[in-house]
This record gives sequence, structure tokens and C-alpha cells, in this order.
Amino acid sequence: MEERRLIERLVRNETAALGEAYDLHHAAVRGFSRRLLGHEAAAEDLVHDVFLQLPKVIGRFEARSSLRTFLLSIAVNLSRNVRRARSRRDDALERMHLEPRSANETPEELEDRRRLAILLSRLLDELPMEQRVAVVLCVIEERTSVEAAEIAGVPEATVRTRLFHARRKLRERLEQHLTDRDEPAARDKELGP
Amino acid sequence: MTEDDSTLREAARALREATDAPSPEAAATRARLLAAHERDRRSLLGSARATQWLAAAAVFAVLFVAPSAWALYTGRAQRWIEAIVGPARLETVAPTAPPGPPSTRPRHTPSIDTTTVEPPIEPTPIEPTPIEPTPIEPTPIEGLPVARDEVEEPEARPSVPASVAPIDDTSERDERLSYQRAHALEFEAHDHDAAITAYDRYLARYPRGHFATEARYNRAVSLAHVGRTGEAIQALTPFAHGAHGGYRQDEAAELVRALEASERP
Repeated sequence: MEERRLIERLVRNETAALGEAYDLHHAAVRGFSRRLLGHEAAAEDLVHDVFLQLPKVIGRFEARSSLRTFLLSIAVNLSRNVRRARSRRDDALERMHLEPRSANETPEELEDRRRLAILLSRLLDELPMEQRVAVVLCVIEERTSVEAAEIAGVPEATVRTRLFHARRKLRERLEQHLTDRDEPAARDKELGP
Repeated sequence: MTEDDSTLREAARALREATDAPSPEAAATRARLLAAHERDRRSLLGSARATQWLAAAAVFAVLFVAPSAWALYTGRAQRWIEAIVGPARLETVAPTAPPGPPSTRPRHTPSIDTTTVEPPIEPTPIEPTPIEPTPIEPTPIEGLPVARDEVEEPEARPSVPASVAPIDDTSERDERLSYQRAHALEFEAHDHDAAITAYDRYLARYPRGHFATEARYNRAVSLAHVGRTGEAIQALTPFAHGAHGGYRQDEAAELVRALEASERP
């Protein structure tokens, strides 16, 4: 009911309504944008553009899904215009902030987890945008393929296919990276001090 | 579940956690967003108003100008006037009408009864009017509109009696051009720094002008755009408090809140 009222106000192009929509959903849109683009400043620009676009396209919102889903679909559409290049991933990733999951987690474990996140973020760059969207929505954000299909604006079967191919590539690349990383360490161990 | 899948899941979880952190830019983006939306909204209102004017002008042209022109051209207008005011009145009016330039276009219908209009025997000599030197206006550079603020003041023009001088027309036109220039810099060129300067010039010259309120508000929004947040808040606060008769009060209040939030550490 609250969302319906908010949408009505957005249709009337009220600035205050846009502010409210931002307050409610900016974190979700920002998280998605960061995962998709891997670049802090580009993600911030995308968040800005998504909400600026909202009053212009709200007339097409059919209320079959939530406003948040609609906002993410705008983000998917706009992200196609964002230049995709490895160089766009900046050192913001290196400064990623991770909280310890438990009091028992050692700094080494925390560092391993951080490296894993950076590795996945970089591997995402190697995927075509459509596959990257599918991975971000289904693997990282753990959404259902139905919801992902709604956000991406494609049939569910298409999402599943994209996901299948993307997962296979990511598995291969992850395996390769982890092997490359472990081999020197194993050799060091064999050679001893 | 394979080993690779568990690694992928672990990596995905790590990336999700890392990218869920709140952004220090969130409040600044909000302020930027609301300022941009406000600009778009006003731009949209402006074009809607322009469209309404054009539509009204088109309707006026269709209903009045075109039939009048047709009636004048075919001579029907003359007959209608005769029917209304009578030929006697025309006789007195016609000779005093100012002589127009000779028409090269052949008239299709002789509308005026030439027997009623006696041509003047001797044309009154027309005193040649001395032509005053017109100041040459600076040529516009690269298609930029001429800065009317820099053109001669209307009161500097001599030999026109004050009672008939078109002071209002000229000064109003100058004022409108000055405002339009600032407006175009903001909404078309999106050059907010230049727009602020242009609004400042307009307001210095026309502090109580027709567009003074709009200029103050637009200037404040431009200040927000270029990151002069403190000045933008200061300029928007009177609007937010309704000092301008409620003009943009809600939007200004929202912008002030957003800008203040972006200022907080």
C-alpha cells in the first residue's frame, strides 16, 4: 500500500517521492552496481542515473513486481552503456572492507576471503555483460532465476542458459587461479628452508 | 556439490559482503540526484509551457490571422468594413491613410470604389528625416547569443521624447534576454559555473526583475550542481521557508535536507 502511494507520487514527478525511493532502495541498487561494474565511482554514477531515470519510466511500471526489482531492471539496462574494461576495476577492490564472520576468524582467514572476493570480481570482467548480470543476480545475490529473468527482461530459460555457461567459465578460471597460487607455495614447502 | 562449486559459493559470499558496505558517497549522490531531478523537472515544465504558447499561437493564426489576411487580399474586408461603418466614413478615412509602398502585386479584386477617393492633386512634400547613426552592435561569436547587458542603455538614445519612447519594451526585452542567456547556459549548455555568473549579472541589474525569483532559485540549484553546497543551502533556505510566496517551497526544503545530509561527515 505504501509502495503504491509512493509510485503514484513518482508518477506525479514529485521530488520528495524520489528522495524517499532513494532512501528505501539505494543500498540494494548500489550493491548490485558495485558487483556488476567493480568500480566504485562508476557504480555511484549508475545509482544516480538509475534514480534519475525512475520518474521518466515509472509510467511503464506494471506493479507485477516490486519497485526494487524495477529499479534493478533499470540498472541492468543502463549498465549496457557503461564502458566495460578490466581497467575500470580500480584499487577500490583492493581496499575492500570485510568484517570478521566470527570471533574465531583469524586475520589470515579474513585476508583469504578478501582475496577470493577480489578474484571473483576480476573474473566477472571476463564474462559478457549478459552472463555477468546472471551471475551477479543468481550466484552473488542468490535470487531465483524467475526474479533474475524479470530484472534482466529475458525468459527464465535464457537466464538458466547464461548461468550454465558463466558458471562453467568461472569454475575453470577459479581452479586455474587457485592452482597457480598453490603451486609456488607447494614448491616452497618441498624445498624447505 | 563439487569442490569448485563450494569455492565459487565462498567467493560469491565474500564479494557480496564486501560490496554491501555502506557508501560514504550515498548522501552526496542523493543531493546530486535531487538537484538534477529538479533541473529536469523545470526544463520539462518550460518546454510544456513553450508548447502551450506555440499551440495558442497556432490557434490564433488559424482563427484570426489567416482569415483576416485572406479577407484583406480578396478585398472582402473592405466590403465588410463598408457594411459596418458605411462608405461616408471611409471617404474621410481613406485620404488620411499613410501612403504605403507601391505594391507590385496585382490586385485581383478592385475592392475600393475609386470614385469615392479623390487622389491628392499635389502630394505633400515629405520632410526627409535625418538618419541618426546607429551604434553597431558587437558581432556574436561562435553562435553565442549577444550579451544584451553590454549593449547601449535605452535611455542613452537621444531625440526620442520621453512620453513616446519605448522604454518598457526595450528594457523588458533586455531583461528577458539577460535571463534567457543564463537559463540557456544552465539548461542547454549545462555549464553551471557560467550560469551562476550569468544569473549574478541578471540579479545585479534587475534585483526586482520579472524573473528575479526564478533566477535566484535556478542559481541556487546550479550552486548545488557545482558542489558549492554551503552557498546552495544558504540560497535555498529562504525558498524552503516560504519567503518567496511558496515558490518551489517543497522542492527547496527537500534539496536543503539532502544538501545538509551530504555535508555531514
